[in-house]
Amino acid sequence: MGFLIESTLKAVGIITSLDREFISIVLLSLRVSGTAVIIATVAGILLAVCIYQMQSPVKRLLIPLLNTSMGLPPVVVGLFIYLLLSRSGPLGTLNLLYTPTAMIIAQCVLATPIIAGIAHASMISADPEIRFTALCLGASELQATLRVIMETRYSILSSVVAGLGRVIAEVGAVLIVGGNIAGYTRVMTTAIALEADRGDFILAIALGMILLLLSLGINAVLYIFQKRGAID
Amino acid sequence: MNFWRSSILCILLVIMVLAVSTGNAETRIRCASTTSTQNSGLFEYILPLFEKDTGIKVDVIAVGTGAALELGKRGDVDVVLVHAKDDELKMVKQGWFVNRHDVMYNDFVIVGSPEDLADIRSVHSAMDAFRRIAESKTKFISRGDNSGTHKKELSIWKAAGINPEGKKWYLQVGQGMAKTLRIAANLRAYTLTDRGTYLSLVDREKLGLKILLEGDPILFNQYGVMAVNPEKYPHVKYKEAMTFINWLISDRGQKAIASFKDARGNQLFHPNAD
Amino acid sequence: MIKEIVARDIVRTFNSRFTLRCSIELESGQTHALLGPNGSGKSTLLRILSLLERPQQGEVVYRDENEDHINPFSDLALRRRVTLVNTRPVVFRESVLKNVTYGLRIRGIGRGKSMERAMEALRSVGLEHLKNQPAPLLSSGEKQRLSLARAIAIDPDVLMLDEPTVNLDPENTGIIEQAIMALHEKGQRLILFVTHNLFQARKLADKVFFIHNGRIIEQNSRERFFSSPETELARRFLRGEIY
Repeated sequence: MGFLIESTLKAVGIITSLDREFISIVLLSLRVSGTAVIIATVAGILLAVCIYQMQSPVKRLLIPLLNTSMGLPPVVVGLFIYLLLSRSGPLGTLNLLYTPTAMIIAQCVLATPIIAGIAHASMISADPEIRFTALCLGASELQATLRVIMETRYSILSSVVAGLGRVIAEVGAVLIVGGNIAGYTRVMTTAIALEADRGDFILAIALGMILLLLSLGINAVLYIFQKRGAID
Repeated sequence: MNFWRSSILCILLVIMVLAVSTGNAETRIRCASTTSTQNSGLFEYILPLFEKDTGIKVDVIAVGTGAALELGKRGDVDVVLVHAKDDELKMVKQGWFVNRHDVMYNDFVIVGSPEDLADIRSVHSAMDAFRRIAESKTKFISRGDNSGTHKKELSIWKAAGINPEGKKWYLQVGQGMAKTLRIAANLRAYTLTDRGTYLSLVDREKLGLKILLEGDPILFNQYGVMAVNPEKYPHVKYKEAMTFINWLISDRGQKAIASFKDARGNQLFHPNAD
Repeated sequence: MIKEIVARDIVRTFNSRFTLRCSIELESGQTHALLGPNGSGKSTLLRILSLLERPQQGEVVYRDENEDHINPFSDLALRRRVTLVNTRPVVFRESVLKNVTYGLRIRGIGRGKSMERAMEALRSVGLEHLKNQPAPLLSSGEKQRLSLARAIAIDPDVLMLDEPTVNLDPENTGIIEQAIMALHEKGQRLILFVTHNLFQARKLADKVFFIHNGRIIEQNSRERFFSSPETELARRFLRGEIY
């Protein structure tokens, strides 16, 4: 018990002293996951719109596929991206393996189905007459779809936040494609795994605290969006 | 529409950030190495010295020896630093790597709980110790991850004429060295470990493990470095990789390795470049 | 300005149980009432005439001063000269004012001009004091009035309304009827509304169409339809025997 308390106190010390290594790891995490989620938001909404507007029977196949990929195991995604980006793989010449860009790609693949899935579901469950009303008022097909997106903006925002929560806490994919290189591709989760492995629990605890605080913040934002969405 | 304009802006911004972040000019090479070297802290000590001398940054990807060699064979790294000399020489012969050099050594030890149920303290060779463990059916934890340590362990079983595969007392965990040691301590089992990782953990974490056998020549652990063959993969940074290799086997590099000590002042690696 | 809407031999079938099959002509400057029992095809006909749904057969022609638009369904510019106010008002999750400016924004009308027109439309239905309220918080009567204001703000050549006052109290009903009459008095507009309220049809309509089982049974001027209908079905409908 004493060990736990002592380590925790030291971890708080690291956080408050703004240790350079510690700060750079946190910032890299935020940069990688933030960028991935921004790209995934655009891609996810476009994907949701495409499926929403699709008329062909392929749609019935796509929706379960999308729902399945909302829960893709990060390590499998990591492995897949690794094989793609590896020198011996089809995209090897891009020289992206073991760079932050590779991590962004992997997290993007993880977050896009989540955002697309939730966005699509909320567009479907939004009052179907929203679309009809917009058309009545002279909207083009595209404008009517945008109207539906605007009506579900709180659900879509919460899907973005949910996506961020998933990728920032994810370790499997970034470890495989990023390689956990010190000062270059080491993010909070991979640093925690490494430091715990090394027996250096203090930095691990400090990073764990920040990760928990971030999750808490993310969930608070999610709660606010869902509440606002429910009111009006 | 506002929405489209702002999303296009977002994408452009992201692309710009990416372009800036990947377009930096410093020279970096990638070195695949083992978890034991990384966990000991050796790289954090010697790489800044190397960078100061040459301006080259080395990105270390720490995996098991087997995986490290595989990364090299796929052309995903420029240089590998591992400890499985027989395999290394075989792959040089097959043309995957060039310019292999011995760099340093440390040794393996057999550790276990102090009560020593199989009584291996009374024997002097690793093979005999393994035989006693097998006869008494005392738990033995194997890395089981194709790492250099795992390969060494398998070669000792083979030399002792025992096939532990599938035995109830033989547990393969598929984890790094530190986790394997923690598992061994919790299960009061034996395991084979490199001395450095054992030393770095045993005091700090108060693991209930003791060194029960050491000094057998078969437990000698040679580390070697080699470059990925530029004829197989023209994109590798062969020149920089060779700068790194030559630095490691130079007087300066060797001295740096010798002067690296763990927190309690133990020297963990002994330079022996040829 | 749209002068005339002509629908010839249009057919629309649902689940092979019910078929709408009719022809109809509507003129600008007139207010038309579409009467008939439940399930007689009124709403479907309204959606087809307002270009939101294509018939399976037949054609709809919009005629203005210059030309006949023989393929109006894929003509967005033409579609924007028509608007339909639905039975159940669906409001957007925005302020009352933004709901009204929506139709103007998507037409690319400038901010100042659309504000002015939206305020005018809100005044005509008596909602100007609620302009900054979130629209979903309005009462159902206010939502129905907002729904009409959205259409009025567009200033359409053709206005169609599907049971615009169903389930409303006399006050709200009065406000909506006033607004429809005001639009009629601006002249040149073509108005078509569906109602179950015979008094309302009598008050607002110049011309009445009676539809039954997907067919237009009778069309007549308001006076003649209510005083001496030509068909037995219409007589029975007016006596309240079929509904």
